[in-house]
Amino acid sequence: MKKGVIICFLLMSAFTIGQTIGGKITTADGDEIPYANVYLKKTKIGTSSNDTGFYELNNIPKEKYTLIVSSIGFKTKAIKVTITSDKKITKNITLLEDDSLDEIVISGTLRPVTKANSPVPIEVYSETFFRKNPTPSIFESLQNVNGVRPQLNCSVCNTGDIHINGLEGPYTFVLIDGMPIVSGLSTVYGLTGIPQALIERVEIVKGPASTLYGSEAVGGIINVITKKPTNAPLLTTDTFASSWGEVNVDVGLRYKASEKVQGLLGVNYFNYQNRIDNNNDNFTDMTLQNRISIFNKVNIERESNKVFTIAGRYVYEDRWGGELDWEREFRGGNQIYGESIYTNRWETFGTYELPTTENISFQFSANGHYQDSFYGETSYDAEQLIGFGQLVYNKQVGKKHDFLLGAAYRYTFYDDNTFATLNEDGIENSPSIIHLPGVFVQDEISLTDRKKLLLGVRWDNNSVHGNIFSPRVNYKWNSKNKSNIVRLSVGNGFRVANVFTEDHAALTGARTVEFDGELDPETSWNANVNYVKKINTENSFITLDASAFYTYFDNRILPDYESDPSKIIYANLDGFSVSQGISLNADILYTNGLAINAGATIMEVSVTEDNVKRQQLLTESFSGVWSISYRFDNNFTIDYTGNLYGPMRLPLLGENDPRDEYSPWFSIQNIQLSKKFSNSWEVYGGVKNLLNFTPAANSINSADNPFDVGIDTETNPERAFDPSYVYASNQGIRAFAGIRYTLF
Amino acid sequence: MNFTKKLLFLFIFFGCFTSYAQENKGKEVLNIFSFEEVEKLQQQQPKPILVFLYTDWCKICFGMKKTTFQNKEVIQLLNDAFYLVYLNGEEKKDILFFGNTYTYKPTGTTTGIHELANELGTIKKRIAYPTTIILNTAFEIDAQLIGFYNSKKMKQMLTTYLD
Repeated sequence: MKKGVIICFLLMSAFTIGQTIGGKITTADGDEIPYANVYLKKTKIGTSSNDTGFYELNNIPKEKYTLIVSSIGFKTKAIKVTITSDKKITKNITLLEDDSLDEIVISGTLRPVTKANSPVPIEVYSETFFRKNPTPSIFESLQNVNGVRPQLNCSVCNTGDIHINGLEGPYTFVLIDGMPIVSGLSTVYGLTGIPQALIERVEIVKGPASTLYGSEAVGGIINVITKKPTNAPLLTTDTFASSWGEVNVDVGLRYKASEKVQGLLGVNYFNYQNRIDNNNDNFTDMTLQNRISIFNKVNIERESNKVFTIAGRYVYEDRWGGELDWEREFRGGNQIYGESIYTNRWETFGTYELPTTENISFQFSANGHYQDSFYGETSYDAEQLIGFGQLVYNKQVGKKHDFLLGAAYRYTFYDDNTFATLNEDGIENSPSIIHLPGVFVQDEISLTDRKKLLLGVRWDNNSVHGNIFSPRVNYKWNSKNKSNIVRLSVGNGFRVANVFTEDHAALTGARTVEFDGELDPETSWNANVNYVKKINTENSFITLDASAFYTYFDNRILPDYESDPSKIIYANLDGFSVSQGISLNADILYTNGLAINAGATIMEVSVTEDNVKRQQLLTESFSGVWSISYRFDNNFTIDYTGNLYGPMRLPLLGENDPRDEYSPWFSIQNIQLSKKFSNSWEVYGGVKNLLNFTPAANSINSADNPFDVGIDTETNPERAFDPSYVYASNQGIRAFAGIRYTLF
Repeated sequence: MNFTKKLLFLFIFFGCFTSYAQENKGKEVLNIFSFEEVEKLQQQQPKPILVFLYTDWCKICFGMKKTTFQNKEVIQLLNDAFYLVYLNGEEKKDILFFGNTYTYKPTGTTTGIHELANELGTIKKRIAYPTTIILNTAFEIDAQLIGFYNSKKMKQMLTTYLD
């Protein structure tokens, strides 16, 4: 075919008088550029330069043309050429190097959203994905992921947890580099302290993953993978500020301590000190924060080629929210309402592969979390220490079996100043200490090339609640061309609720907390089906992903706000609870620079007690998320991101509560424009919350009387002060701008 | 709309997408070699080597395998004039090539890079996936091309290289 065309051309040239343009393509330094594309715009005449940089275009009719020369790694050049005579025109062309090479090329370094080749559906989100809507912490960034919603559990202090497919924070297991270091206290207070700059990627598993991570991982796993000293840039800085006065600074520095020891140091500082009250409730719209987080990770190269890394992190945070005229001297007092939290947290974690021929690794982590806080007059001081270690042995047996054996031990110490850690006599303090040894076995069986079966069991012994047994089964099938993948998973979960550390509302002091009997562990069964379809054409890459999920709880500890408006009652569920739904995701990437990622989740989370089925509070039945990016030729990128949420049922203080029972449909939309100047500099800016959506101004009930002065909350519960929950951030439309500098 | 209806609606919606699947059915099969094989073949019949550097998680790489490397003319060009090698940048096995043994270098529990990928694919101290590398018959790097190449660009590149 090709030869035929060439022969045709040769024949034609014998009859038509062809003009020729030719020349040499070189770099600014005079080096020849081979294989550059050369063509005349709006014609079919084109060629590439040969391996010494020469090109020649023949048989050009007399006219005016634009000659386009392009080559990967160089800036494209356009030259006007007019062909009048029959003479050969010589055009030597110099191309300038394009430093922003990696940005104009669609390539995998960016770790686009993908699923690994595993039977467990893992979603991977890159650093680039989160940059489309820059935020100071991973907590806020997760709003860009389908089926994941950061929920603010405190109108005043703005702490929150992460809901996956409708299940609340405690069901979500947050790991850093695979280590379970965000649990208990820090499920509420720890996520804001993980800075963006350290994140290489975030892996999300929706659905049960109990076997590897422990039975608490019922709703899903969020695994934050931090950058590695070996492949991080020498220096990265990222600073941004918003029109509300938020300032976020990230610095990352790679260093070489010795020939074999490489380190990565990261510092994040976030500050917000503006008392803004746009909804006129006399309360700060956004909590004032001052936070520093220091991270250091060391990679030690060993002769055995085995892994040895150790990392440490320290976070200090001072946050407060409350009445506008609050000052530190009012902390804990009953004159001016304020919620103030000081958090100190340290953690360390690492991996050491044993120098054996067999593949055995030791993973460890430890962390301490200290919180000194006041919610109005109510003080809450808590201390938590967690130690964790596990040995994992990975063994390939034959071609089909990939075994994973592990033994883990977790120690949790928790103490606070509430009655939760009092002795049975109710006077003496007795901190809670839990030992949790466990073993697990997993076998990943490659049934055929296209079928994989994963069987796993885990056994834990909780020193308070006894034996916990959690099996799981995963199955993966893919079509011959690997473009269709089906995954199935079934597993169970088991979780011991810790009301105070997990449920912020228990602390606000607005309601009395009551336990109805001894709380039993929660048990659940879950099943997931996932289907992935990949469609690839010459100019687009499309991944479609559909999941259906179903979780059945035969016990669940849920806060009951409704039986008695002045109380929160925690009790075992006398019935069952179901979370079910479906989510769809489309990820489309065009070679012309357009990238679309959109997803939607429809779900129903209900609690059935005494044959009465009710929707779970603060759970949306629909959520949608999208990010649309377009990259222009001149290194400008525009990102349009957003969310859409359906109504959520809200906890009210009895029938007479003036607030709406349901939140409205709402959408948060953001736009960002960024420009790369060279490989090192990038500036970005945009507008967040374009539609200026804020929750109802009366979201804090009785904001004018935070200490319930002169009110009998027994008879008039609807007049009580209640800042427990808010369904969205009070931050309305705002501008932001930032600058990044990277040195390789 | 009740819950089941919503589900049904979504399944139908999704079904519409999936029916729009397409496959290239090239008659000629693309020959893919290993580095060990290429070294032997080079002694019998020297040809330049095209190394396609990819990873399992790289979507663009997958797309290129499904489109560019399924194009009839590209297959013909590669089979006739090149030895094609697919190199997984995160390959765990040792590769013996040109007298050297290249091994996998882990950078963490689940991450790492193969030495050979590092050797062939590094451009300005960085590696991007996919990268297409052309080695001449003396095993020297003649070209490193980052990113997506559709069949047209690939053909053009291959033919100009051969000229």
